[in-house]
Amino acid sequence: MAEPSATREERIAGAFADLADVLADDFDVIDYLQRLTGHCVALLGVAAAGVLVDNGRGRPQLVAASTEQARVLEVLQIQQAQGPCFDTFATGEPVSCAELARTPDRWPSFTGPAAEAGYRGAHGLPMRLGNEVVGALNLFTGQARELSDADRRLGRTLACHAAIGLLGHRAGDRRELLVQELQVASHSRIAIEQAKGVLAESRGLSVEEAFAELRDYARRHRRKLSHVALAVVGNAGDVMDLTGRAPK
Amino acid sequence: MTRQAQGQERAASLVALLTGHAAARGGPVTAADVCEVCVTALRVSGASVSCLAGTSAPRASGTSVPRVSGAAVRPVDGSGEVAAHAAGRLAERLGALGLAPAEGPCPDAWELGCPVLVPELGTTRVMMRWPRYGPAALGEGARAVFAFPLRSGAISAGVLSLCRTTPGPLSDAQLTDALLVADLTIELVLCRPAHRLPRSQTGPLTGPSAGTWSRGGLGAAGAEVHQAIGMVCVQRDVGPGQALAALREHALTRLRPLEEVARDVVGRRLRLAPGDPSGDPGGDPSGDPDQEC
Repeated sequence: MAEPSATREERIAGAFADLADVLADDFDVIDYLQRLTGHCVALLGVAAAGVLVDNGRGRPQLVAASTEQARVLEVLQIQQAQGPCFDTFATGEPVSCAELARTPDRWPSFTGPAAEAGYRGAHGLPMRLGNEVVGALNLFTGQARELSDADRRLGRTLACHAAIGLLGHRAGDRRELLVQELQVASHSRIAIEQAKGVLAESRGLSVEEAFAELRDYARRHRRKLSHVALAVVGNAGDVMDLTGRAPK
Repeated sequence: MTRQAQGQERAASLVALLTGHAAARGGPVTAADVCEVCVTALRVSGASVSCLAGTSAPRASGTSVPRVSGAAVRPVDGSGEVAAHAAGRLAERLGALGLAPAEGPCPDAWELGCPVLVPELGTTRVMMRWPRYGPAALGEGARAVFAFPLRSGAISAGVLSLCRTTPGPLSDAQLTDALLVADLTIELVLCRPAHRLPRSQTGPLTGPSAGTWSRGGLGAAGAEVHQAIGMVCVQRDVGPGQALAALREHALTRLRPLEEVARDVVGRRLRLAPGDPSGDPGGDPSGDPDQEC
């Protein structure tokens, strides 16, 4: 992360350098998208960001979110099939709502919970690869405000980067790579949810606390979140200190 | 129609095809039904389901090539035995190929945990990737192979493999169908409740109420279903496949939607620990009920 005193240009350059590092390194799609949501929050001055992808089964799936509230709101939109982010995914077009409270009837099941979570505006940006919409990058603002033109452009670039990231850094058939990375993202996210359940039960935590434990453990041990999640559900011996379970 | 509605509609019609096929034979949905539905609904030349209980890759199971002719497919987390079923002679021969030289799309899909799509087998790239499998598969008359892991998060149960005698990619619709069939195979075939349910209670399998597929399948299930699977793993000290089977059994015997049962588990209103009064009405979860496929 760049110093807080860095100029906007320096911070943007720092973020893209960081994302390029993730692409070049031992690539993990969930780590990549999770990090991208963090950069969105830092660079665009929004309260939270989330990523939905097309998991090939006709329904968007949440794969990364900067906060638990954003995760819950994204999942709510998918369940209710309404909301700015859902619309972006369904239409492939950007959707921008500077003040949700002004149009309470537009997304009736979304507006109330969004306000309760402290979000007053929401913006959806399509993740495109050519003509194909592979997902949506979603931004939630704490104040009722439009995104500036500069932020909107930067948001689009980040959404574009998120889509390209789904192809990973590997060579090969483009369609096969995209299908593979979307499925890996989908299953990694499912494994993370399963692991949250394991930790919630074995350690007596809420699912939100379980996620924080999982994420902190992965950071502390410099391991990929999705690998730690699989180890937790598989009850592997090396995560015993995290799960508190006797390994198989 | 939105993409979401299309996905749900496809999931529902694939469930109808699978259960209809099974009902015509007079039994639960099996790997054989999955293979035959793939051949007709996805217009492929052959399909096979290879399953392995436990955690190692199918090829790690030993040197013997499994019998690929309607052999038993055991549910996940079971005995550790490999079994497979194939529809069509080509799929049968290819299934054997993937396991004997321990290379090819099937072992790769298992190891990578994601689909392996080979729309044209007769390319230099394929021959370099699988120097033993590639020529052998071409020799059997296959021109395209598509392998899908039977996976849902940490549940990893086997591979669904489709083959064609003509080259060319799967269409987007066929790809969606294949992913949905793979999800349904985990749910309906491999994570089937351990107990034989009375006939009156198998009803919901053909209706929209009892499966996650009512919302478009396991891959489209809400986060609570996956969180509940994790919680039941601890409550019963079992793997995630058996935890899903326990959740499905609870839902099916009470005629409740799986997502609703999952919400109760996550909300800590329901425990599925063996012998817990709010959970199962007893019975040995490790019993060996009818598991033929």
